[in-house]
Amino acid sequence: MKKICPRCSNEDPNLFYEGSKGWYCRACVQFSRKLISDVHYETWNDFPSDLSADVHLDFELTDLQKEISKRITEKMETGDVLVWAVTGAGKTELCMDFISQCLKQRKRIAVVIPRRQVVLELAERFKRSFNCHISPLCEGYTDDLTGDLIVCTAHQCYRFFDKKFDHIIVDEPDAFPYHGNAVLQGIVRNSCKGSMLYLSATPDSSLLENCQVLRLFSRPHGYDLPVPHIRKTGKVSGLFYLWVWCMKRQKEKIPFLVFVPEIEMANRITLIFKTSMNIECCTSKTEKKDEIIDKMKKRELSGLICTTVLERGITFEGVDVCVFHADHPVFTSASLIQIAGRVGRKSSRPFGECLFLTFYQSDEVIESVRMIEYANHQKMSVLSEIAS
Amino acid sequence: MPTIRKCLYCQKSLHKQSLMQYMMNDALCLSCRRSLKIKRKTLQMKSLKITYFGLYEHDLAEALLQYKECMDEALKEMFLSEVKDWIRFHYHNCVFLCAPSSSKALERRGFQHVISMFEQCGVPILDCFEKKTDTDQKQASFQKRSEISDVLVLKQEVDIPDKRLILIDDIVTTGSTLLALQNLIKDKECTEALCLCIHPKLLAEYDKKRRRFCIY
Repeated sequence: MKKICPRCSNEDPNLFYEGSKGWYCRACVQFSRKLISDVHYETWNDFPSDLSADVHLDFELTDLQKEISKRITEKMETGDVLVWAVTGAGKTELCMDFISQCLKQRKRIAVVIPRRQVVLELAERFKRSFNCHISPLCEGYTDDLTGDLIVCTAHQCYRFFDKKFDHIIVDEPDAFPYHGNAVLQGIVRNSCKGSMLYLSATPDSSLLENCQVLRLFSRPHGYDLPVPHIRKTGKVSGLFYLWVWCMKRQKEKIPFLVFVPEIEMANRITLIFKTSMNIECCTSKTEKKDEIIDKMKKRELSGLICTTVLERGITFEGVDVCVFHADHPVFTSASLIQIAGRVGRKSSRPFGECLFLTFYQSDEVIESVRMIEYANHQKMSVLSEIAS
Repeated sequence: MPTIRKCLYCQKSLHKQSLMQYMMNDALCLSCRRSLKIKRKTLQMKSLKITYFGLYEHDLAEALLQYKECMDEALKEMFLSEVKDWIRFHYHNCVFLCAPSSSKALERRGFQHVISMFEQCGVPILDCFEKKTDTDQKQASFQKRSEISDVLVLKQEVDIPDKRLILIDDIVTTGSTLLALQNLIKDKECTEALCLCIHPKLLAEYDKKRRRFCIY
């Protein structure tokens, strides 16, 4: 008989093992052993009787955002939905109306984000908008599972496999480690009994094929996405060019982010540049990451030298962005689009500069610029489609 | 369709193995085998000579966690496969006495992890100790761990044979469990213990005192 893991949907016969308690799946065993015969389900605790499901936003959604938001609620009835929206289009705000509808109908819902850093930031944003109990679940925050709305990393979804959500919203399904990880994708899928909503700026072909797609290629302030400038340099001259670029921004008091491909490179560049600039380094190995990001948001720092850890989900007001060694294999076209999307997100400075410093002009760099230009071009056609 | 052999731990294809691994039909790929850093060493703790095969850190610690806490029973054959012949040869005609697990952990896992691990060496193992209460040593402090002797007892129905006795355990953190077990069978001579790994802190303490081990 063909074995299928009830948690991660693994079907590979090599990844099943018969232990003392029966057959279990070894593909997802790092989340604790799951016997394939064990398919009991638990029930959720009841929602509090005084649950408030209203959304409070500090700003009003644009007409286009309202239209997309309405369509999400309609289309979720019939199957999985993908919202293909450019970076900074307000994807999180788009799904708030849907979350509110679900909570009103007393449905269980989770927002799944691949990155831990973004979980905490998004949970804070939801706390400002909803007057209900919101539980962030990620590394370091694993005690509270009782929230009316759960915001968690994909890894934490295994805790809810026995209960199952009515709907799951997956933000950035194209991000590491969710992207290309069949086990995580299986666990998230099996933790949901209804339809799923994907929010992405750079969806892959399988999502585009399997979901109903809603497109939003314009930002709320109506400005185009900043198209990156590509500058080909040598290794030493590139570093000097970067130094001049950063100094210029510090003088003009424009905050900046410099993305570099490797942690060691980030540390070394910070060490050199710190002699003349008020900057810090932010990588996955940085200990006081939250503190540094906070400082940057408060404009106490002129800039940050970071790795792809800050490529998505985090908004700094009015920043300029430079990618050093943009032709490095770490930077895929999706991640370059996300990095370029850090620029001009707020209406107080809806424009800015994005610079790619490359040693060679890689296909990924060219593809990312082409995709941003395509999104800017398509903006008008989507507007007319929605209007009709 | 021929089945593709996969590494037991990283689950990648097994095409990268050393000649020796291939000959021994090792279940791990070359990089996993190297990352475990299995190497035989000994230390003397009071009257007990402890032979261990690695330090409880990095990949070995992660693999042990997956085996014990995630209950991945399939991993039982990966830990001692490199040294099983040495154990069989060196300890022939010996009886291995296994350190006990709490009944709660045993029920949850469905297998005694130390016995399953050492069974791969083909040696006789006697499960003659038990814990009176379900104490969890994982979160216990250094001081608390030394109180383990109050919890451990010898099973009444078990008859210990008159052979060379070897205590076995998976991890030695402070050594209190092994010393308590040795104390329980003090009428029999038992001066040797075998464990998969020791805690790096214990080794540091041991190195500091230069073979004059006296933390108790």
